[in-house]
Amino acid sequence: MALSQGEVRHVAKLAKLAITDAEVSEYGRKLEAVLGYIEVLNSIDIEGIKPTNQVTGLVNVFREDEARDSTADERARLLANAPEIIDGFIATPDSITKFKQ
Amino acid sequence: MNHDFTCTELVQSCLDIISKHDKVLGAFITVTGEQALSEARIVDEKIKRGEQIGILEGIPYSVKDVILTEGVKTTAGSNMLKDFVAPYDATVIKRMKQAGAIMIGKTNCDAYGHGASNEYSDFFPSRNPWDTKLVPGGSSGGSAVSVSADMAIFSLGGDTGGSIRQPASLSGVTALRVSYGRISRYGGIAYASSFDTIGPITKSAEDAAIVIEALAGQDENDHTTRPEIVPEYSKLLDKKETLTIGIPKEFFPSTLDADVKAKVLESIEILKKLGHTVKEISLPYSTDVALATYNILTRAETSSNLERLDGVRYGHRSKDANTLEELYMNSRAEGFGAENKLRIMLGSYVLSAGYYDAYYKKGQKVRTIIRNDFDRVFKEVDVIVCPTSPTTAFSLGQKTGDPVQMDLSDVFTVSFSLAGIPAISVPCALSKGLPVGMQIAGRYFEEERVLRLAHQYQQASDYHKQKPPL
Repeated sequence: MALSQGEVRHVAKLAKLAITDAEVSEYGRKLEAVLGYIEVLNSIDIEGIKPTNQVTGLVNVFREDEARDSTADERARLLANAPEIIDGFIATPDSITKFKQ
Repeated sequence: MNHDFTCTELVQSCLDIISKHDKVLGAFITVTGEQALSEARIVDEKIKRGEQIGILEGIPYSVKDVILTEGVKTTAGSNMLKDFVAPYDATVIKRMKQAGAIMIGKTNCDAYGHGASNEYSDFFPSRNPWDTKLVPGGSSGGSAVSVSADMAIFSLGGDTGGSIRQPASLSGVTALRVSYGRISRYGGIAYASSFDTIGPITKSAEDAAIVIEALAGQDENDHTTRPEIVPEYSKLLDKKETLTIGIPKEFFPSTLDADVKAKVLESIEILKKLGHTVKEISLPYSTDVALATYNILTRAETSSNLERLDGVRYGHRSKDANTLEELYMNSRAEGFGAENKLRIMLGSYVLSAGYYDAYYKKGQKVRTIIRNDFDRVFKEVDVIVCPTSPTTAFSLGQKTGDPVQMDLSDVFTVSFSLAGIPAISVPCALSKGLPVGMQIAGRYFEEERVLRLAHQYQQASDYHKQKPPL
């Protein structure tokens, strides 16, 4: 199962991974190798078979939709790992004015 | 209680072994020595006052670094999370705290569980205590090493396709993959959500029974946990029952290492001598077909799960980004290792338009075929016995260039993961001085039976008592 350079770049884009030219070949080779052994599934007859999504058999496990306030300590612990904070908010690069780039 | 040694002495002995050997073995990413010793002192005071303590109270254990431990760095073995401090405890950690067990540290692993050798940790590889030129297995390699080398009495690891069983097999310890839905995954950094389990790596099946008794049971924070009550596993190990054991012929191919094959078959003779019936069965879809199916589904699930690592709320953020798109793409390219990226890309590929039906949907249907096949054999047999790994421990660097070879390490473990059934690996031999593991799998939610057979085997053999030459 051969993958073109274009396909490898497309997959990297879907996965939101920046990729160098050297990496395109490297990953392409490895992806082809793995897709190669997956070919063993081509001979399996799946006619009339339902897909498995999960193995527990559980359906619709609900809980009450109750909101609760977080404590100051919880907020602090959750925000402690944020790369940049401004006024208690997580800051990211401007995505509005630079949207068209 | 015998009072042969204090809790502080026990914890200190683990810390001493870590000081002496961990620079070479690389089992730990974080050691929580001070905290462990202060908890040990509290347990010793309780004992001095004549108070009763629980069976796990004061017992030092290690935790695979994909499990969140509040206030303690939790990295998943990844540069992306190298400074991440967990904001809350996983449910399994809460339950261990309730039982009074003492955490000695966080163990090294292939990042996000992506690997079978512990060489894909972004920090350093772990080494096998039986021969430090060899891998301990993965992805719970650090956990297996910590128990094998007596750095901890037990460990909590994670098993998605074999990540608790295979390193146990290669490192000479016992490990149980529970039924999916038996133990809460809340607070475990997800690899593949319909396959992931958290479970014990221990010195014996009896210890595994004690640990899962404390961990198992429904959790309101994990809606995939089943409501079944938790049996007193540790008290049910000596119940007498005669079993029919199925030996799947496809798990003993001509390509299997001849000595591993011979040793596992010898161990099966011991099970026969214990009074059980052994019969050959066939599971034609449970080796290479299972591996291919497992590959598609787990890569798809992990590509989805790892989308949360985007440089925004936590984890590595690239300094090299002017737009939001660049922030995502560069943070992820910089934070993830090569194996993570490969799996994410494969997952994205099999889920993408034009390929979804041919790969992902097909994979889900083959998973049903594999599950049906297990239902069929479990009408004739009570448990399935086979090798855990096709080989003993391999050399560092031997498989890292070849994803197909690395994946093949899990050829005997993945089918049980696809079916969601419990499976234990127990040491059953030494082959050229290296541990060999035997796997025992049972029906869904029949870990009691699996543990009982493993325990019986361990009373009739002593490979689980053997120690690496450290």
